Amino acid sequence: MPKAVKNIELTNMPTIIDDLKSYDGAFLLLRYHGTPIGKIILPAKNGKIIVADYLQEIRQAVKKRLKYAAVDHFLFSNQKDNVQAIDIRATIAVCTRNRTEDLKLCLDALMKLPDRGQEIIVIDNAPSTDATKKLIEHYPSVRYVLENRKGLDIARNRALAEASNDIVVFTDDDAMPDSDWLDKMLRNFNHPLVMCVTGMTMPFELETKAQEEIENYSPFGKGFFRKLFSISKSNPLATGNVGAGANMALRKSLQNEIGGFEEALDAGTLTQSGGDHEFFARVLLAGYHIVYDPEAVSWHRHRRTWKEAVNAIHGYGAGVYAFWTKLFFEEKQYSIILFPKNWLLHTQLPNFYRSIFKLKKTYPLSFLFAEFRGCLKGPFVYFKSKKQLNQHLKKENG
Amino acid sequence: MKVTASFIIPTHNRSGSLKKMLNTLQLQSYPLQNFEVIVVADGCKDDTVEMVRNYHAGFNLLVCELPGLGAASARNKGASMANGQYLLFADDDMELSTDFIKEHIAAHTNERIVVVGYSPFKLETNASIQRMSVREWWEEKFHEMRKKDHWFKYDNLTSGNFSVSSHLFNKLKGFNTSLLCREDYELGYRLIKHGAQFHFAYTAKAFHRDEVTNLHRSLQRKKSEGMADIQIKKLHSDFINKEAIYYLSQRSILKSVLVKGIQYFPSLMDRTASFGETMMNLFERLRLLSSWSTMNYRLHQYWYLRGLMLGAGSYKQLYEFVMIPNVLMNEDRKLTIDLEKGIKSAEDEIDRLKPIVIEIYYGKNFIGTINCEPGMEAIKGYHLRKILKDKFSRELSVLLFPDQIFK
Repeated sequence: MPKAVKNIELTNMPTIIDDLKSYDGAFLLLRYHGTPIGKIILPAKNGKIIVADYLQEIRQAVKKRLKYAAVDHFLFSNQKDNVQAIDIRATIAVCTRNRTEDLKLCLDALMKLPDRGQEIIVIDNAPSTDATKKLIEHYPSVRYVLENRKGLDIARNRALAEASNDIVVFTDDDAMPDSDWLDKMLRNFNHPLVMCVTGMTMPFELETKAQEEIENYSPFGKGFFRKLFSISKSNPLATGNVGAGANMALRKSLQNEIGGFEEALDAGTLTQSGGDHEFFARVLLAGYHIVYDPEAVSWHRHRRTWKEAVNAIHGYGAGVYAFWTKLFFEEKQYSIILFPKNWLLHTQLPNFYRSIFKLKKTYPLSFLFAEFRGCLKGPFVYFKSKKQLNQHLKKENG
Repeated sequence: MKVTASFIIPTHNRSGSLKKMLNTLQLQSYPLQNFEVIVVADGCKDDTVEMVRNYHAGFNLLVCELPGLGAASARNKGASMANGQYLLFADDDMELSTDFIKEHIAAHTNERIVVVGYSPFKLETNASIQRMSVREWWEEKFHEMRKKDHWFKYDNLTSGNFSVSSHLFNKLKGFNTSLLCREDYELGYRLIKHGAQFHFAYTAKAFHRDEVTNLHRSLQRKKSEGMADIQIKKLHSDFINKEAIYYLSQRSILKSVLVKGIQYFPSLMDRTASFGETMMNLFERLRLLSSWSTMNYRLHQYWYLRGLMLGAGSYKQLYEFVMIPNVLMNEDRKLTIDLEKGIKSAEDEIDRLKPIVIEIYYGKNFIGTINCEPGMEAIKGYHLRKILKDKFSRELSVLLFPDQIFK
């Protein structure tokens, strides 16, 4: 039951969406004068959607955000950012491993960004072939960096070390940013305490059931309102809603101040994820701000097969518990002990209950079980992964 | 050689950090012979005076001693010795950027300008949450001022990093030395009333190496601020104190308990408050951050209220002091604008008529009123959009909602 993914501009709304032959519906990102303000999934009949039939549903989906978008448009449509601009440059870093096909789409999207003096580097992480290296040869403006130690956080740290500009913007190799993505990211760094910015990630395609269910269960987008996270406004340990490493930017100087990413975490290790969220927690604990800016849109290609999807969800559970374990034991954030209970009681158990009894808003049980198994394994795999990392480092240092 | 700028540093027993600061003054890009530095050693018991006398400076360096009269007196004393056309005021614990003086002087394009510089709070590693929130407070304040459409207010003057023409400063007879604290706000208030034009210079940057602010000091200061606000109100009857109004207009049981408590059992209340302080330290150690934040807010509220009531004598007097509204009805300077005719024309109207009260309509719908209160700079057209966004977004959103899309 695939869905097409489309952008819809409300000020220029089509009456019919009709190129939906092989789809049974469409996922629409709704925009108002370019600003993303909501999303909706509409069913298609005979390969088309008659938009007029769904106006009230669309209104409902955008209402809250549109109110303020309309005010902003009225007040500031002919004005630029009102803070004195500072000259700030970015290094865009793509960490990749054996995914040349996706990477090509990503690089093609990056080539469409307007020139703001950015540098682009690809960190090829412990590749099994030289396919990525060969691909990069077709992009003369892209710098190729080989990182032999396997692990996404190792690659991220390498990117921070390699970057020649003050801001390092990360995108996953299976994500395609919009052309104004970089500008929308960078404008937030006008505030000196903003050390990190995350953007909104939307699904690039919903071709398979796995992709649809992933988007439904754990959407990468965190809403259409800009959010500011700081120690005085929210719990610095609750970083689940901050955004994700697939679409984030940070100041290079952070690496010296709070250390880099935890190399025992995230993809390529036993913990499978969590490196970004653990890092966010340390940024907030140091008294800095993180901004979630939903106008910085990137399109992520979710895993296509059911097996990959279940594995991703499993990894999500493992990563969360692994990074909580690190915060508890290494950062001495003892109040993290309350988080598992809250997650279990307020989210996980209700999800199980609804999904088993087929109440509204149900999720595939295989996802829920996979996540739960991941959670149980999380603390153990963290210690195991840490041990492996230390052994590896020892070996390297002789 | 004529001296353009007089750099005035009041100091109190901090010879070490003062010396570092003199070193950074040597590195200024502004010609050293064009400025002088006046150190006012206020009640110093260390070697400050001797250190300054023996310091080999490339600029003219003066020092004088006071018996500990407070920063306001020290700054006034420095100003009275100054030969420069402009007075620059800084604290004794700042790390100046090399263009500091140059940027300050460059911003003085006319006699009425008051330049406020950027002083980011320098934080040590493993800082307490309290110090993190102090830094946040400062950065937020500076970030607002950096916006091109910022509407300046008396409390934008920060005594640790600003400059003013000596002519203007002397005309207003400098700082008021009778205040417990907030003498910078009070001067800012008089400056704005006198038609001064505030300007924020982001490039006039000096790191603030404040190593002494901690929770206890911050709470004690809150009490002094409450008392000082009453002093200011006694000096200027038209002074509108938003902070006090905000606290006093809250209708909560907690507030009534606080007020009654302060009235009848002040020492018991103070002891309870210091217990709260101990609790906060415990919360911080256990990393119970939301409990910490709540307690932080409550205790600051308590000490501020405590200071206000000490200053005013009783709650009733305080209430009268703070809450009796000042009538701002100035019919000749009232402007009605209709946003439906476009925001540009509204901006032009404001610049043309220089109003004190603005009534905003969108077509026939009343949106709200903007009052140019005393202590706020005269309103300009370019302030309008930000005011509308900050204060009237909700009202506007109802009227501007593009419902035609869904029909």
